[in-house]
This record gives sequence, C-alpha cells and structure tokens, in this order.
Amino acid sequence: MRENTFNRLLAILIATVTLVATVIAFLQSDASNHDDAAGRDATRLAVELVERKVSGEVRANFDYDEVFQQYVELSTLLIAADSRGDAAAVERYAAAMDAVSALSSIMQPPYYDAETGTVDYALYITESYLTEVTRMTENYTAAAAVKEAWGAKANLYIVHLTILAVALFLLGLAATLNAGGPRFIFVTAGTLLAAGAAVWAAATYTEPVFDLRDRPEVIAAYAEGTSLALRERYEEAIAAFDTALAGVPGYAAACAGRGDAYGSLGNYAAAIADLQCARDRGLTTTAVLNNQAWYQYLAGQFADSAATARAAIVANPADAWVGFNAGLALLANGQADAALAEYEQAMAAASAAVAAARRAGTEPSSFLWFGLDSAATDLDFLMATIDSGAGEPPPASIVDPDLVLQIGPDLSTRLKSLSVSLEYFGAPPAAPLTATLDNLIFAEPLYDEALNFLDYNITDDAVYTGGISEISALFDYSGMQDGQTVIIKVYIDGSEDPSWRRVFVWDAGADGGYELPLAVAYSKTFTLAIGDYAVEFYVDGQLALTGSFSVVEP
Amino acid sequence: MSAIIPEEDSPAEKRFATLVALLIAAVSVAGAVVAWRASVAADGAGGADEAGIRATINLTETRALAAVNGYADYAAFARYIEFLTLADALEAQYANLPAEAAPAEAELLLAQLVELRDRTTAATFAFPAQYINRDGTYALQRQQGELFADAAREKDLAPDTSFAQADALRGQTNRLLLALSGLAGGLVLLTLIEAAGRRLKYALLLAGVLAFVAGGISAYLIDQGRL
Repeated sequence: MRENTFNRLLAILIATVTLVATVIAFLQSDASNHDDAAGRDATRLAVELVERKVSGEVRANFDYDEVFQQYVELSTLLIAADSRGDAAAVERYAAAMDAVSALSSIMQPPYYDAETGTVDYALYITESYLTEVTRMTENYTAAAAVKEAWGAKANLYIVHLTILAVALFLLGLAATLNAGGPRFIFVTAGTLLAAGAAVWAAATYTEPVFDLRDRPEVIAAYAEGTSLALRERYEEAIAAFDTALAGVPGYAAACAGRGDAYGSLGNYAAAIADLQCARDRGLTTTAVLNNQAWYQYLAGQFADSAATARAAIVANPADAWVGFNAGLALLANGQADAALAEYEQAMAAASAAVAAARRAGTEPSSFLWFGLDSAATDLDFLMATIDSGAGEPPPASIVDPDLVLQIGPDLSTRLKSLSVSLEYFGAPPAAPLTATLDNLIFAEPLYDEALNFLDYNITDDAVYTGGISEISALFDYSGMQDGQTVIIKVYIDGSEDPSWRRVFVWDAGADGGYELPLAVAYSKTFTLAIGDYAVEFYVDGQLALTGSFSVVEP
Repeated sequence: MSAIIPEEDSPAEKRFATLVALLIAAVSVAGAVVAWRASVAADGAGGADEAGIRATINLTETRALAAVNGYADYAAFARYIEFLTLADALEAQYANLPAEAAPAEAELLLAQLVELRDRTTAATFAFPAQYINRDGTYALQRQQGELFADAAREKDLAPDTSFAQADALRGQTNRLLLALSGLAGGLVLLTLIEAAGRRLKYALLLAGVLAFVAGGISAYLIDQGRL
C-alpha cells in the first residue's frame, strides 16, 4: 500500500473512532443523567415513604389506641353501671361514648360495626395509608432498580470509551511508524478494538431498562392485592395479584404476594409454585423462603421443605434460628439425627443471638421469641396430628410417626424452657430442674355476698361454664427453694395471652400445696373468654408443670 | 496537523490548507467551550437535586411533626371531651335531682361533679385550647396547617421546583452534548479533507463548516435556554 493511501486510511480511521467516541460519550452522559434522576427519585421516595408511614401510624394510633380504646373503656364502664342498676351512670357513659366516637372516622361505617362493637382495623389502615405506602414502596424499589440499571450502563460506556482511547493510541502510534509488521499490528489491533467497543456500545444502548413506574396500574393492582390479603380477603387478593402479573409477568413481589394468599387458602401447591416464581426472579428474603418451606412442610414435601429452610439460613445467616423449620421437616421425614442436629444448631444460634444482643446492650428481634415459641407449638401440633390422624401435614406423609412421638415431647419441653430462660435470664437453663410440681387442679373460687372466700368449685373434667370471673391453680410442690423465679404462661386456643403472664419470686418453702390465683376479679364486669386454656409453669426458666382447662358457652 | 498539508504548493492550496487549519482550531475551541457549558449545566443539575432533596426532608419532617404533635394534642382533646360530656351529663342529673333525694346521694353526685369539672379543666392544659371551634370541635387541620405555614417561613418546603430545575438542567446537558457531537462531526469532516479527492474536499469543507455553524449556534441557544 502506498504511504499516502495508508496515511489517508489512518486519518479516516482516527476520525471515525473519534466520532464513535463522541457518540458514546453522549450516551454515557445520558445514562449517567438517567442514573442520577432515578437515584434522586429513589431518595425522595424513601424519605417521603418514611414520613407517610410515620404520619399514617400516628393517625391510626390516635384513632385506634386513643378514640376506640376510650370508647371501649366507656363501654365497659357502661356495662358495669348497667349491671349494678345505675341508670343515670349508663346515660352519662352513653353520652360520653357518642361524643368520643364523633372524633374519629374509625368509629364510623364501614370501619365500625355497631352490632358487634368491633373495628375493622385492617380495612381502616389499608384505606387510610397502608395501600399508599405499599404503592410508594414499590415505586421506590422500581426507582432503585432503574438507578442500578442505568448506573451499570453508564459504567459500561466508560469501559467502551477506555477501549476507544486505547484504540486511538494504537492508531496514533501506527502513524509514527514506517511500513512494516509492527505498524500493521497496531492498525489491526486498534481497528478491531474500536470495532469491538462500538458493537458492544451498540448492544448496551439497545438493552432496555425496565421501569415498573411506567406501569402504575400494575403497581396499583399489587398494592390492592397486598391490602386485600391483609384484610384476609384472599380470593380477591389473588385476583388483584393476577392483574399485576398479567401486566408484568416477572413481578417478583406479586408472585410472593399471590403465593402467600394461596397458602392462606390452603392451596399449598399454588403457593409453593408462586413463591418459587418469586425466588427465581431474585426475591430471596427470609419471609419468602420461610413461607415456602412452611407450605412445603404442610403439603408433606418434607425433603423440599428442609432444603428451602436451609436455603433461608444460607441467605440470611444472622437469622440462623430459623433452622427450627428445617428440623421439623427432617423429623417428619424420619431423619432423626439430622433433625436433632438442626434443632441443636438453631437453639445454639438463638442463645448466641440473645447473648450478642445483651453484650451490645440491645434486644434481639421479637421474631426470635416468636420463632422459639412457634418451634415448640409446631412440634406439639405435629404430635397432635399423629395422635388424631387428621390435620396438616397429611398424617400419611409423616415417614416415622413413632419417631416423632418418641423425640417430640422432650424436644418441645426443651424449646419452651429455652425460650423462657433466654427471655428472663439471657442464657439457656444452667442446671437440671430439681423441683417437682404436680397434682394440678384448676378451680373457681366462690365467695359470699360480703366477698368472703367460701370454697372452690372444682369440676372433674376441668370444664367451666362461661360467665366465671376467676380461676385459680392448685398444685403440690416439693424441692422448691425460696428465691426461685416462677413464670406462668397461659395460652388461649393455642396463642399465648400476654395479659395472663405472671412472674413472681417463690417464698412458700420447699414442700407443700399452693393456691395460685390466675385470674382475679374485682367485680362481675370481666369474665373469662370462652375457649381452651393451656397453662405452663416455669421454675427458673424450666418448664415444671403444664395443665389445661376449658370455658364453654353456658 | 502535518497530515492535512496539501501536496501541491500552489498559493490557493496553501490558503485552503490554512483556512482548514483555522477552522479545525475554531471547532476544537468551540467544542471545548460547549463541553465546559455542559459540565456547568450538569453541576447545576446536581446542585438542584441536592436542594430538592433538602426541601423534601424539610417537607417530610414538617408533615411528620405536624402529624405527631397534632394528633398528640387531639388525643388530649379527646380526653377533655370525655370529661366534659360526663360532667355535663352529671350536672344535668344533679340539677334534676328530686327534692326527696337523700342528702348523701346529692353530696356524692356533687363530689363526683366537682372532680369531673376539675379533670376537665386540667385536661385543657394538655392541648392548645385556641384550636377549639365555637361548636366545641377541634380544628386539627387548622393547627396542622399553621405548623406547616410556620415551617414554610423558615425553610424551603417545595422540592418540586428544585427537581424541575434539575431535570431542565439535565436536559440542557444532554442537548449541549448533542451539539458537541455535531461539532465533533464537523471536526471529523474537516479532518477528512486531507484524505479526500480534489472535488470532495470542497464538499467536506462545506459540510464541516455547516456542522460547525449549526453546532455552535444550537449550543449557544441551548445555553441561553432558548432551545
């Protein structure tokens, strides 16, 4: 090739590369601008979101915790006045109830049901702020995703520009050399690099950036579905999530929302599939993984459930105590050693989390206590399912029921003791329990008109008729020591009612009989709710005695 | 610049080469100026965004405080309304007490009434009583509106203005860069004159000058906010 022709060709090449670099610089600036704008939107939304949530909570707290509770308080006083025949007081309280209820929309339809005297709190908070907060959260998430995508593009363009700079350097270097091998290599390498960078930049440019905010109707459908699910209107929630997913099939949060709604309806196959859909689209929060593991367990897919629960631990090592779910699934799958190992690990993780929080002067997450209590309750339910031959998981799917019944009771007791011991003493039980509590009886105290104690009403089957206002626990004890901490937990229909929780220091000596008032009444206004009551007695954090009684409709 | 020196040494060619060299220098300087203006606009967009975020924080802080303080006062007002209604009802009962009522009953009612009136008075200390309307209701919106207006006197509560400005400056940056691309195109055309044949040289010169003029004028108009 003639020198002149070569120089002309080189000039054209350098000019073309310069032009390409200019275009890419423009694209980089454009991408960077989009990145900045989306980042600003995300920051703005995050700040506004917090404010909207705080303001909404403040408003809801006023409406529910102030006005409604004031109304309930006055209503209780009215009932008490009515029961003692004070008509004037009834009139006064009724007037005050009217005045107070006028202060908040929560006391008006459709939130307040005058017939039942209850408030549809879920409807109220979803309509007053929660649906909007969900929508803002999704907009924030979308803005953050857009920022990330445009940021990645801008960074890629910088890579392209860097490659073009190298190409220009090589082409410029070639202009200084005489004809020969090195010059040919520099020109070829520079041209190839420039062409590669141009093609790569073009591919980057054509890569679309999806912005969910461009589909407000999809976000609105998701927010609606979330609110409907909160109100336990799961079928309608599923329809709303369907709408969201029809608009954007890859909407991971909508998959998760629909999965949980299906799970709440007992459609575990659909729930598991939808939660897998969420996971496949990158949503691998503890909630998604744990819920999927739970539905797999309820569906009798124990191996899958254990694997998913394990994945939850791997994804969120700080929440290692969620391993109880894996242990439960393995136990139902007949893998005793693996199950016990999971339970031991999870218990150790829970103890470590509490100890770490104490050392740091903070408190562990309330989910830890929930997780410990649920671990024991789930185990109890599994044993009850085996005993009754009905329930979930399907009894036929439990691989070795005898194994569960053999291991379960002791494990359940250990879990309950660990929970109470960690909560009150910050450490697992230190020494074996030496005290013995037995011969537990639940009894209704009876009084004369002057409120002098007469006797106990004791039924053979621990079933009491509704309307009773007091109940006591009578039991024998031995091996107790003064100064030990006694903790009482009462579960009504399977859930602990914290208002019944009692904590006191033992001062009744080593042996004898004890009468413990569980519920004390000062008037006939308050009566025990209808339901099944399970009572647990802990001594220095260790479960020492359990019992139950029922209150039935008169 | 040696690459664009014409092979021929005729005076016309020399003048042509000089003109091209001057044009290339002018386009380069114009490009640098446009790049500087684009950078200034981008900087301004960042600054406006920051101002917008500051205004957003001011706005949300004001709203949150208005909600927290407003509903705390409204809760105190709710307690006041309860005592007031109970006291009014009790006073009516006391006034309508039959003459034959036992003195002890009257004394008890009076004692209750006095206590309720005291409680009502005490409750008024817990909220700003100037927001009680003439009909006895509480002007929560007025209270929150005043809190908002007070804050607006001291700080910027209008983020949208700053964000609109940021978006405008960001658009200006992009448009300036587009104009810069035009100038770069002109620069390339002028550079290619040396590599072109005799006839094409003039076409490239014309195209390069047009790109220069178009890029320069559009950049000026964009910078002045007219385009």
